[in-house]
Amino acid sequence: MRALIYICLFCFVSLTWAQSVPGNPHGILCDRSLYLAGEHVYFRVFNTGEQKYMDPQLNKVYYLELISWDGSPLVQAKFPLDSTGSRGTIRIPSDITSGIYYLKGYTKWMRQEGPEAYNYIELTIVNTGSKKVLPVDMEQEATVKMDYPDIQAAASGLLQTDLSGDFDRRSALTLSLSNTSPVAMDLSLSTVNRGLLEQQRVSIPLFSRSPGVTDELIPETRGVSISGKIQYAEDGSAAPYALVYLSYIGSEIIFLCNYSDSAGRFYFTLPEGSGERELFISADIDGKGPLELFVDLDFCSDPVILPAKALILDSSDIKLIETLWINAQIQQQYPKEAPAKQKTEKDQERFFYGEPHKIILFNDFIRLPTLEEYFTEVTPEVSVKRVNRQKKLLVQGSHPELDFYAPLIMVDGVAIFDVDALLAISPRAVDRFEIINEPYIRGNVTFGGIINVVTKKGDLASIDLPTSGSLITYKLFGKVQHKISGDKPEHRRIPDSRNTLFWNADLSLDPGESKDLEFFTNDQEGNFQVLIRGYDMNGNYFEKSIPFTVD
Amino acid sequence: MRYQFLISVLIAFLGMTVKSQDVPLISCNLNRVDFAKFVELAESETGVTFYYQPEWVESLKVSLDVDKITLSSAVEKALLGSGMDYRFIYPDRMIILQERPPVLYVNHLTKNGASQGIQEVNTRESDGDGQYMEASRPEQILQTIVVGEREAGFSRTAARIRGRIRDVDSGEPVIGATMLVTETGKGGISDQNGTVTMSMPPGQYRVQFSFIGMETFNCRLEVHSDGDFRVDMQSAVIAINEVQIVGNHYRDINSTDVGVERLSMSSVKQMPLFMGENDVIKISKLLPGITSAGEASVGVNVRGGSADQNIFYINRVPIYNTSHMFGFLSAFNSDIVQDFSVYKGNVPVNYGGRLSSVFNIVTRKGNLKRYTAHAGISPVSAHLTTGGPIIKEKLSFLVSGRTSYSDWMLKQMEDPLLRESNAGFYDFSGALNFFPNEKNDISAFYYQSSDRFAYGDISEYAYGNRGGSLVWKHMISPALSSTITGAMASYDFSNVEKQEISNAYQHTYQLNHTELVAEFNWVPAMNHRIEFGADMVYYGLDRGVVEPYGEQSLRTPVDLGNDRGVEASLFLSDNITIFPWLSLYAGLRYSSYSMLGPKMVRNYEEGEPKTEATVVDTVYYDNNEQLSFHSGPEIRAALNVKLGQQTSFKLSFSQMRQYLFMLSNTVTISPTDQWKLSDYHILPPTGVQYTTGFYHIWPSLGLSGSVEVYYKKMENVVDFKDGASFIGSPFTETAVLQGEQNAYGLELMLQKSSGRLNGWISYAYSRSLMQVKGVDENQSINRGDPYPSNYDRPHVLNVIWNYKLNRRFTFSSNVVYMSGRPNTSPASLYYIGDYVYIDYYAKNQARVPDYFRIDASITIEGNLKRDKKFHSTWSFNVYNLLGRNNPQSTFYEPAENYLKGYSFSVIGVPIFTVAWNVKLGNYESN
Repeated sequence: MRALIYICLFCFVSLTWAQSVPGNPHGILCDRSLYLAGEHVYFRVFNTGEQKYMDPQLNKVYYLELISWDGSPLVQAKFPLDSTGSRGTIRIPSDITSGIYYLKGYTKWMRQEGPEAYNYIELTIVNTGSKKVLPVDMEQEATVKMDYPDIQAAASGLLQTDLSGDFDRRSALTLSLSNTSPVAMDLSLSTVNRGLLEQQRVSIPLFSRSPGVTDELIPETRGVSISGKIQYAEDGSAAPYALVYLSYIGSEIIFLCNYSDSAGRFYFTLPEGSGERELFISADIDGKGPLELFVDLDFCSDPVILPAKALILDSSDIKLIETLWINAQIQQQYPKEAPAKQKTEKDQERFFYGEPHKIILFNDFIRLPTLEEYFTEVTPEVSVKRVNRQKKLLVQGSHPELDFYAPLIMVDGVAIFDVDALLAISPRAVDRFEIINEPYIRGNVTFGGIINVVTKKGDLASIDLPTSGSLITYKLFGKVQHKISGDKPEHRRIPDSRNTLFWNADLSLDPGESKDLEFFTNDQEGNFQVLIRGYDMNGNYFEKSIPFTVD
Repeated sequence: MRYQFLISVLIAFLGMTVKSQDVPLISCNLNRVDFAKFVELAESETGVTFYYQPEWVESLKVSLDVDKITLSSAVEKALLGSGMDYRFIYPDRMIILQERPPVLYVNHLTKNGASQGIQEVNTRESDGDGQYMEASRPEQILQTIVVGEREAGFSRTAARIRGRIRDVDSGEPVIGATMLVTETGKGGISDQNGTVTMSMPPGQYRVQFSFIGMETFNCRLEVHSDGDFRVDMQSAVIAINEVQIVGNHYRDINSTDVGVERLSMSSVKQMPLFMGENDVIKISKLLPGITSAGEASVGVNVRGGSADQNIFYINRVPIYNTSHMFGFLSAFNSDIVQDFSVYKGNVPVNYGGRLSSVFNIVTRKGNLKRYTAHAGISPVSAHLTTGGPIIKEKLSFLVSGRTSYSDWMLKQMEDPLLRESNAGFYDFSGALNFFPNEKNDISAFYYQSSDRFAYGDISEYAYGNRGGSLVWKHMISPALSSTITGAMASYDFSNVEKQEISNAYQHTYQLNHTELVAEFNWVPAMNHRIEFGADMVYYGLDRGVVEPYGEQSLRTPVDLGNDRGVEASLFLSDNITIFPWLSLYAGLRYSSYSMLGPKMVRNYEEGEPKTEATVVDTVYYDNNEQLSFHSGPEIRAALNVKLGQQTSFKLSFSQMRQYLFMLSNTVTISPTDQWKLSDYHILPPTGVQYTTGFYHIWPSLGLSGSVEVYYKKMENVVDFKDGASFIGSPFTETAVLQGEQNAYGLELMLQKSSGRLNGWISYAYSRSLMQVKGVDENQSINRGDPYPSNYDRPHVLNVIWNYKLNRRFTFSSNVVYMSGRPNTSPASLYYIGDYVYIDYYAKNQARVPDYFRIDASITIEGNLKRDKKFHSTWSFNVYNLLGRNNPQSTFYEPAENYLKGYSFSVIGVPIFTVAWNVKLGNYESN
């Protein structure tokens, strides 16, 4: 069945790809071209329909990396991708070395084409806290071609703009836009100090490889996915049809299970979420042989070399950087009020299985030396059996399935296979057992009940995780940010020193449509510009700049 | 760093933020005004807007008296001392910063300054090599205990370290805990105060503390120099099926102890109960080499020695009669017992005074943190123990009492005489423990017991023990500690015998024992552990007056007189580790004994038996006049050869001297037996024992095994003439004969002290032979030929096992097999005239039938809930499950023309008892 889906997908993709012609260089746009270390980069990825590898039907995840010219990643993030593209923000590390960097963007499906086909955009990053500069090797031949985007003046002309307001500090400005062309426009808008947003080089995709479907590159049709393979530790041969558990470690209780395929490969789509998660993945084939589990790298690690370029600033750049720096310092020392703290008092923590049938609170009983004794002495619902020197837990109950199927065993909602490791947990760290004494069916897997060992700190009680399991940190979606426009500071004594006055990543105008947008200036006087960039529905890139001065 | 530089770079490049450029000027005269006020003034004067977080300047007061200075310097002055900084942004913004911003580096990025840049590659977010993600794993961290001054670094000489091991829950010391240093393989065992002393080179070690019933504590020990440390062990319910080798077994392999049996209360508690009580003395009789005459017998016979060759100490108080109800129960309430050891081979030099053994019982110290209580009822008795803090962590108490109500049982008996009888006992003990500081430890203990028994209208007995001790343990330095003990004990009995009215009498007897011991423990170097001290005992015996009882008694009163004696000893021992595999215990106890007057002493004809007829004259000794003096060295030595981590081979040589003995003409100790000091005529018995042993542990199985072989030779052992009476005359020498005794044996023991199934199997083959050869046949026993002693039991097999089904259900059982006791049986019977004469075989050549008994019990504990007021336990026990008639003795009565033999057994039916014990707290409370 799975194979059939792949074949269909392959046919579909091949067909659509065959029709596509490499079009304009496009892809990622940012709010600025010059950043300081530690600042946020706001970006927008346009999905003009040209790049079929970004077909949102097949790709729900856009991978974005901040890399140096030699391809070393400094920041890696994933963002949701839809038919209009993707948008969000990444933070530049504050210990980054000053230099010319690139944003690299791709989807999982694009990885079949190789890094030359990805989207790149050049960024200048200055770390004012250090004298270090990024070394460049001019000799290295770039594998990616970069150029300035080809601007369609005609399209720009069909966008009517008007900027009105007091042009004073801390005042609201209104930008009126109207689309007079017969096609819809998809725009992004950035307002910064003049000079901070210069024309940036973007990549011209090269399709160096012929596309092919591999097992490893299953398109992400639902969201962030994780994949890998399971093999026997003994001889490294693939372990097919192994039961694989995936659980989140931490407050979020997620449990997924599935079987590995005939090649020992497994694949999970993770539930929607943002930030990073600690995942625990483990596998087992009826206790047969020690297994090894490998998780595929989520980001593309294929080598890529971009044009190496030394960072040389002129005096006007220096001036801009100083302004940025002062503003950054002020922002740092005048932190925005922390968002209202989330309610720490959570309701009674609920696991996915809901209300357990039985809770054994350790505090109700004397301290027993081993977890096994808590099972044997005070938990009549669970029996500990010894089969071939291996201990097994069985849930007792009235359902006959409980005798046939092994229970789902978890620590803090993290599913594990290794009963010995579970029983080796110090009972001091454990708060309670939660037991479901009914069969639990998840997808094609049936469990003979659930035994969940809940620890006091929710830290899995330093369980000795087996080699057939992997504890990894996995990235979900990064921060999605559509818009920053500033607002009037509540207190007149609090300075407003935003370096980007206005960023709007999502602005679409239907033919004939007009829109008014409002944003606020900051405390700073000087020369600014509003830069409107985007594509019309024909895939033409255009820009429009509106300079203005605040005094 | 960031505060050290002014923003010089700024000055060079910034047009708009230079502090002094195109500056607005300000004049003001302010005295301790709010910063906001200053801002108001400055803003109105200069038109510059100030930006600041109001909270930052809440407590900032500005005093400023200036005339036309730049705004920047005015602000600088205003902020002086606040740690805040400012940035003036030309032309009209003054921004207050909470702290000075870092230096701005930027000019190295210009064409001119490029050479100043440092080329450096970023640290990469993830290692792009390889195809798969890296998984991580959590780590474990050990606690570190620092001994000595950390600042001083590691000293060069060996450090003497002393640890105090306490139970974190109760504050009570943990006795017998093992400290094992992983790196060196060396270890130590905590003493009766829970202290463990060691000498080791400074450094870092991984150390493990373990004790049965405690959670094993692993830590890192950082030893810098001499010093103390404390370890709090957490009492743990031991894993029900955990197999481990702890404490005692470690000691078996590593120490020079030979012929030592130790029981901790946690193991005693698992034994089957008799009449609903745990009983340490009863359990000791199941150990190899320790036997008794059978049911209802008081004394124990250790390695072929008589019952009076053992001394029982409870917290250093000697107890001269350790039984209640003729030995059905022992005089110690097991609820207060913490540690129990029997020295039957090599006795440490700080103990002496008996030929065969020392039984040492250490009671619990009161809980220093909270109140505890235990109570229980059984068919015959009830007991209650309670303890707790008086001053938390400093002073604690423990009191315990037991009383019987067994008369109802006697009422059920078939024997009309027993139905008329009544019996009862009580015992009481109280302890106070004071820990004023880490260096001192003072404990006081009091014990009292009393028994009474009236056998119909035939006889009445009453006896009692009373005693107390005061122990002061002082840590002089980490290497030297002292223990000063003062103990007093008295034992008395009274007895009315009225079976024959004409011969009825009453007799009271009292023994007083006063003892002062000073012991010092010194660790001078890494391989030595020296103990030395002195021991002084004063014995005062009032043997009482045997008086006629009732008006019809024709007896003449006999005053048995008083005995007074002083025993003084000095002792010194060194425990030397010669090589890691070879250690030596070398000890010497030098004891002396003087009998003191006033006393009337008879002289007898030289070479003649000591009878009334051979008295030559009588000498009177004045008060405190020494009438006899005996002294001699007692060498105690032992050698341990370790044949690996799990095997050891030991040799020991031990000499003992005894200055008092018991006058007894029954097989077992009876309440009327009198203790008597050796005197002008009766020499102190002496003994020497050679022991060799082989010990092995199987840690993975939790098993330990030992084989010990001993040979014991004793001289001047007291035996009695046939038909001797000790109440007819004060001159005991006329009833006593002294001879020699040889005992030898082989003892095997296989023990499993942890796990779901635990217990032991012990087998002993032993012989005990007496030879009393006097000046003539009348003064000899058995014509001077060797004969088996009354307690010679060649084969003894004990099996004790417990099976824990789970924490709440425990099955246990013991099986006891012993060869029958020797007795003298008649060979023939003949008549002369109407009189029947019986001819006997040689003494003790026959035996009563073998002894065999099985006991079983089931113990059901209450639930394991933590928060409850009481925890109770039900025990169902069957004593003598097979109902076998185990004969205690045999006797013969002439019938028509033959002798009819009878055997007498004390308990010939299964005895079923139910006991209910309750304690404050839950399952694990103690």
